[in-house]
Amino acid sequence: MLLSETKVNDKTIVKRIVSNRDIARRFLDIGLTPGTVVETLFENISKNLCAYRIRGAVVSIRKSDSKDIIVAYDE
Amino acid sequence: MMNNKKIALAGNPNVGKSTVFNTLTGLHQHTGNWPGKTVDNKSGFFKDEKTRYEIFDLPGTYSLLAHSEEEENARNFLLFENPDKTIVVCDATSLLRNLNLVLQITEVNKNIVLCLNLMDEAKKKKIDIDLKKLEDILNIPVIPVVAVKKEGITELVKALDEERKVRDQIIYDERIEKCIYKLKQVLKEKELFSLNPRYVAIQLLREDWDLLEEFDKYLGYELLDDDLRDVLNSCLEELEDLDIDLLLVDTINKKASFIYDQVVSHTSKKRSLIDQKIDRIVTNKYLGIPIMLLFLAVIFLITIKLSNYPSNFLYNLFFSFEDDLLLFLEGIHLPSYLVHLLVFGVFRTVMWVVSVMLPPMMIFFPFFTILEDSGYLPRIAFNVDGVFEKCSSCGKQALTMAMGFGCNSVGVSGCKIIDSKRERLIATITNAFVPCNGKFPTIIAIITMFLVGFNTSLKNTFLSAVILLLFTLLGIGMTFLISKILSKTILKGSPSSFVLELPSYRKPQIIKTIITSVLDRTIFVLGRAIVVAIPTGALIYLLANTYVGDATILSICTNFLDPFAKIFGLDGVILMAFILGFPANEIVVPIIIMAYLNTSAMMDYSSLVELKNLLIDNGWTIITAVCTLIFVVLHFPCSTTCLTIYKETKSLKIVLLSIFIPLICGLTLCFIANLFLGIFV
Ligand SMILES: Nc1nc2c(ncn2[C@@H]2O[C@H](COP(=O)(O)OP(=O)(O)OP(=O)(O)O)[C@@H](O)[C@H]2O)c(=O)[nH]1
Ligand SMILES: [Mg+2]
Repeated sequence: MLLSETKVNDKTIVKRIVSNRDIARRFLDIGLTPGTVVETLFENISKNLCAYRIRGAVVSIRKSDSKDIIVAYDE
Repeated sequence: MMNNKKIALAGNPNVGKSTVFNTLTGLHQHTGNWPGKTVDNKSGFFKDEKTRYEIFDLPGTYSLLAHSEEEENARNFLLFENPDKTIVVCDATSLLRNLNLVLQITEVNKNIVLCLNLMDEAKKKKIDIDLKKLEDILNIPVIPVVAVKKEGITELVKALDEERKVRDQIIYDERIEKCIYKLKQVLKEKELFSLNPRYVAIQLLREDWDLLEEFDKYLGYELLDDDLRDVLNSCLEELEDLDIDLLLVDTINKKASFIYDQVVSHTSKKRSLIDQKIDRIVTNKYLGIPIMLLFLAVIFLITIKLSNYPSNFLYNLFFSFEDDLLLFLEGIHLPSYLVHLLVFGVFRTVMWVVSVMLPPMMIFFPFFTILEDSGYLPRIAFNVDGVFEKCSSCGKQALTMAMGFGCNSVGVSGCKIIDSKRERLIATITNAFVPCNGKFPTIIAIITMFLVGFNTSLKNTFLSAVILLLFTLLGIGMTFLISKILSKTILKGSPSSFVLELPSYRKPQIIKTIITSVLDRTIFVLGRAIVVAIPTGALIYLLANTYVGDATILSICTNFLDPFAKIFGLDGVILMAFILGFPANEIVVPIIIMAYLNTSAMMDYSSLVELKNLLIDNGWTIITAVCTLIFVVLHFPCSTTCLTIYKETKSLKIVLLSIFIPLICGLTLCFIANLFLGIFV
């Protein structure tokens, strides 16, 4: 499943990141690597941006970018 | 003899580096609760018994990989300026992520002090950190600090004397380490000055060519010669199947987690309840935008209501001096034209700037800063990002716009936080559409005189605030429109990616913020009054009183501009005032007054009521007022902002675009308003 498809309050684990190099590096920066737990928090008004809790910090990412992050539910 | 030491303050964004810097140096570097407040390195000094320290406040950065310009500033400083000690400021409430950067910095610089800031917040969140253990693992001093309360600062300064060097922490995948070793063998033969060979080797493996260019510039020779290139190529071939960036970061992340688990005993798995609650309200689907507008409206309301008092006070104070000054100057037998120039030119311009312009800025700015300190600004960016994505621009533009309220020049330098060059230029060019607080006093004065009336009842003040809000929204609306048009034309492209952090809310330092930002504005306005208002006041007076034939130079100019200006509902004097007001917005109105007084029978004005009469005598109608208001919001950026745009972009073309785009927008809207209102009025 894609991170952009997760619902509010979902907790998922990052499996793979298929973004282009620039944004992938940004994701690495904030500690978004395979194996990281991501909690989906809330969306903005136009639903193009969503806030996630990653390694204790709240970070928002546009849906157009989070669709390049493949996640799975925590078993 | 005193030692001299160079200290760098590095760390993640928004961890309190500038606050630590201010506490150490006694300076007033701006702080704010959002990532990206500081974008340029700033230096200051402090001393203890033995040593004189020069300390550099660096922009925050999540990692040393550096994507945007302000992050490059920080990284390059650590690499090339060779600080004697690097203080890495960490947020004690999110140590895990902060440790990543600490570990990366250990690869560059071995003389590190870890400053664990925000200990008060950590305590509140019941996060327990074993400082001793962290200190042992890293082998560097770890100092707990509450920068806003100055706690731990003496210990921090003491720790700068320590000789301990950080223990090497990071060991990568075996294959990578082998390659690093091979490269290091070649690098050993070269003069690398302060650069760490291991770090250079790693960057080569990462194929970061931009950074390699920086290396060459620093070293003064081409690092990647044939020998090195051969070794590098064979290494890269060997590692071909690996995503090196990911592996490097992953190793560091794992190490950070490993250390974190040993030193932090309790972490709540949940977000703080207060943060959750506030966010639920301020980012709510229905409430988010109204709350934002309400905040702005209330700040405007307070600004308008409160600025009356200091304004009247200062005005009367100045006014009571005027006669004395006149008598005094005549008393010392100055020639009368000089006396008039000093009193009616210089003194009155300064009087206007200080008494009318200063109070609203002095009141708006601290309120805005408090909002900024609370952590609300990134939520605004979060709320309105949809519009920015539609305009193919970056959501962080909302932050640079917000900075524009304080000062467009600051907004323009703030544009560094936007990674993509295209989106950065859009944000730069459109920044002046947001009226800076230097424009508010003029807008408020015109609204009072022509749209609302002089009665300062709450209803009228409220009405003024709403009108001011509308004109502000006009500027914001134009920002969106022009961003969109730019994205479709000369700055074509699709939106690029960014991540926007929403920091925890923090209780703003209300008293301190008010004091420092009132001082900040007062110094700013008085500084501009001295540098700009005094000479222009004199100049305008000369222009208005030097005759060529039977007309003054000023009236020749304004008469020349008049027919053109009339098309847009303005007049020659107004247009001329804006042109002469290019150095600083504040002097536009005094210029208008002086020009009119020159042609008018009335010799004096001592209140807005008389000023209104003066304007009406000179042909002002409600249409003139509305068109002038539009033009105040939308014309060209002031000279300081233009200089900053040039400094940041090094492109004359961008400066010209930033001047002419708002100008054309303003004139077009004035033209339309003039035409339409003409039908009704
Ligand atoms: N409660 C608390 N707040 C603090 C402390 N130190 C700093 N702050 C607040 O944290 C916010 C960020 O501080 P800054 O000094 O601007 O942070 P910075 O690291 O310079 O941020 P950038 O320049 O964006 O990288 C401000 O609102 C400060 O008032 C502290 O020890 N305790
Ligand atoms: Mg800072």
